[in-house]
Amino acid sequence: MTSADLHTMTGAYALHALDEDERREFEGHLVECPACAREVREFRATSARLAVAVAESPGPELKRRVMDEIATVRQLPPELPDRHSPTPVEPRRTRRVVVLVLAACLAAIGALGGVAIDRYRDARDAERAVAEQRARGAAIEAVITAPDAVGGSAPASGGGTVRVIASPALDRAVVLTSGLPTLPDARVYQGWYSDNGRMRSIGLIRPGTALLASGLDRASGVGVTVEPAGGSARPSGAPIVLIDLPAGRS
Amino acid sequence: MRTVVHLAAPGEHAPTLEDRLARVAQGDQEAFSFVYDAVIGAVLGVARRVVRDPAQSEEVAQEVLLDVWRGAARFRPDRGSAMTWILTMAHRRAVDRVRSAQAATDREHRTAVREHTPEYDEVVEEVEARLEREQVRRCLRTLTEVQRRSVTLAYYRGCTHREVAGLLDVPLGTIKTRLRDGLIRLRDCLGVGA
Ligand SMILES: [Zn+2]
Repeated sequence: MTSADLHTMTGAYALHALDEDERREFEGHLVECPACAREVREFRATSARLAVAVAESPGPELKRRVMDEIATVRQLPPELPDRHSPTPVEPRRTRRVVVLVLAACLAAIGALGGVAIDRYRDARDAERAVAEQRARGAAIEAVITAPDAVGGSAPASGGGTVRVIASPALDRAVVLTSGLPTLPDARVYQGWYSDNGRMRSIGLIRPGTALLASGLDRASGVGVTVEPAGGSARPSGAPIVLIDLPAGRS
Repeated sequence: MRTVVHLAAPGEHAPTLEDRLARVAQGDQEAFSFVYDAVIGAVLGVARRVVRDPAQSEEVAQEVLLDVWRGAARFRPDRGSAMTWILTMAHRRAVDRVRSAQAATDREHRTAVREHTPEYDEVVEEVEARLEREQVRRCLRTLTEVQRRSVTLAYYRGCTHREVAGLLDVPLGTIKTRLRDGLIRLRDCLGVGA
């Protein structure tokens, strides 16, 4: 990247909107470009005003919790392994192994396959779309990280892999596909719950996107078929993959 | 919560947030309590905007305040105000939260526990926030539409510039420039110095 390009990254950097690689590259530039360093400081001060403008009153317990906690947290010494912010406190939350990384803002739009975003000309619509995608992302995350989550994956007969994660407690399943071949225009992938061979539709699957399905009930497995555009009421052919969910769950 | 109004004795100038922070760096919990009161509204506000989930926003705010306590000695006044330092950490923390996948843990549980709306007094900071809101709103209107959307999606939603480009259907290469141009206008309108 040329340094002329780098000078334009101050705004995105100050708003934490760069990717990791870009951020590192730009931080390298920042040490040797006083003009950018100054601009970043100004932009940070500017964006701080954006925060103050949306200030909210906390509940009283928050302060009590924080004050209790600082009494037990050791402070860092002043000598710096020079950086602008302190080493973050590790959250004490226990981290779970998460099966799938669900991105922020709208990785959802691409990866989880929602709406064609170019239809959202209006900022408010775009924001609503963001909110919906986030809610969907959160719902998917909830299934994936559910304590009772079960699942499995299997190769599809035409190529690619299908993975299922189901949470009986949430009564939902998430179907993830990767590398499924592109179908001709008039054909679609459709997902199904299998109740010991009886198939219930859970919706169309767009390759590379996640399908969130409710109504898991006592399904014994999840299958995928290839159907005419629009999908079918029942499978018109043998599934390209059928994944059994562990039996004997409550 | 108590309404805290800081009045200086005559002839004495009221301690600034930076002064307080210097005391915090010495382990002064009372000074920290003042810092908390001065910043918590904005910290929580930005966390709420980005993270959305109320319980998780509070967790983020709590983490930020612990960062302040822990890192007070590392605050560098030559690099900007204490408020900016703290709110930059707050935004970073909030963005990290939505960009990481570890979030779902215990969410339902915690939300259920904290569902009630607590009562609190209107604090001084709220009044200031209202004035600030008006000015920021006015200044945001001086931006072009793409600039304004870019800045608000990045700041209040934690979108990366790539995501902003996708959302607004603008070529990827131009969003960085739009963000910068938008912030320059906003900076000038708000009269922000370094
Ligand atoms: Zn530069």
